[in-house]
Amino acid sequence: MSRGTLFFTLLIAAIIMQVVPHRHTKRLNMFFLNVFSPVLNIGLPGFSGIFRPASSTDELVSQAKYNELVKVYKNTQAALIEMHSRYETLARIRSGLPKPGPGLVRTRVTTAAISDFSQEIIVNEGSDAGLKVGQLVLCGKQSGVIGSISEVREGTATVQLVTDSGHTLMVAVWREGRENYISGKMVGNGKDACKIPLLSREYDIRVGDTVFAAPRQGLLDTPIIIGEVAAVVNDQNRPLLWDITVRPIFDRQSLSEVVVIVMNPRETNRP
Amino acid sequence: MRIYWIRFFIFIVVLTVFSAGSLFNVISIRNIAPDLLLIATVFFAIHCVTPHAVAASFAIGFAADLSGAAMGPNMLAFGLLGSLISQLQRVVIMKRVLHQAVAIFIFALIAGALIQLLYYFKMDQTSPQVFRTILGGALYSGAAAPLMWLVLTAFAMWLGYHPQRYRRMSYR
Repeated sequence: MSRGTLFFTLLIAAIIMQVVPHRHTKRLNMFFLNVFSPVLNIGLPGFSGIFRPASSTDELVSQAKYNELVKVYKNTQAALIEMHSRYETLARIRSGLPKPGPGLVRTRVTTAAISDFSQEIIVNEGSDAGLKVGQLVLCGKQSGVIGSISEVREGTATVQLVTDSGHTLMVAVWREGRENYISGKMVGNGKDACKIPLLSREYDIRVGDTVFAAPRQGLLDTPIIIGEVAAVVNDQNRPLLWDITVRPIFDRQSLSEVVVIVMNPRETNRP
Repeated sequence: MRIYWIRFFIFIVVLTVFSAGSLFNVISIRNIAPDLLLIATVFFAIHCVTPHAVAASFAIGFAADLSGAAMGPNMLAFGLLGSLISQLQRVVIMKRVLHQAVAIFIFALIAGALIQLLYYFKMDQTSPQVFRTILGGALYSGAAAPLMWLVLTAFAMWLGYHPQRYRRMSYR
């Protein structure tokens, strides 16, 4: 094969890779991640992000304050573990009642494909365990919504995180003392937060308001927390609308176990 | 000159897995790390005969895409850049450490910009802080190039290349 033929053959192959939609070619990326995940996960993800010099004095606290924060953190963590355990027990009991409540499928994260362009994780349960596209996924530690199932295979499933730019979810914003929720559609910003666009400035939204996943027929009975409003500013392009930024409560780097809400657990194939 | 393609692919897979793994984060500074695959592309493009350089560049780009966010951008950018460099073998002299660092820095800037552009076409979005990512990555790649060059020179012999001897041939 001449050098020209070789070059143009490979160039055409590369152009085909470029123009084929990402939803088709991402299987190759996932295949690579699945095959090499044991090697890729050696070491601490985000190690250098944690052990880096503080960029400003705002990131520093005194030793006394640090000790106090660690104590509070550990107490909260212990309370959270206890509450999580109780929550799981209750959910299991509820699934046996005449009107079945949501069942929970605990899964382990096998691969995290979190980059600047996509924020997805792969879990080790699939259609065998009753998982379906659209089901909401909770963080295994904090019981907050982290995303939803975007693809299901027999023994694995792909979870699209709420921060993925292609992820949309109906949410409800609530503040203590308020009687009603404010509904909106939340989309990921592709980085580490989400946005609630097209919400009129007539609504009273403030920083710190809690954001819940809104109940949906067949997917969720009651609202479940996603995060809190981190910023509320006027939309520069549309003065009548808010530009709302939501900060999810989960930590992307520490996702090792997640829980999928399966509304009809009795229909699953698993005994 | 004979090339051991199976060894070459094994080497590229190992390099890709290493540069994509969490262990590599240890040397990253604010999420910016040297692009080992880009340095390898330039190395093989400089030292190989043109058909081998073209095939190696596209193969390394494909490997970079596999470990990246989407298929296509790296393969196109590395393939085009590697093929171009292979045509400039007689012009690009990378004997001195400084020359290697500067050349890799320039190639990383061009490749980084091209890759981000292709990502934009493919994904309809760009990396956050795109200029910081490109410039930081190019600087770090340039700084790491001399060390990486030594490693690649050692491996090149195992792969069937003899960079020093071949470079002299290319000047004839």
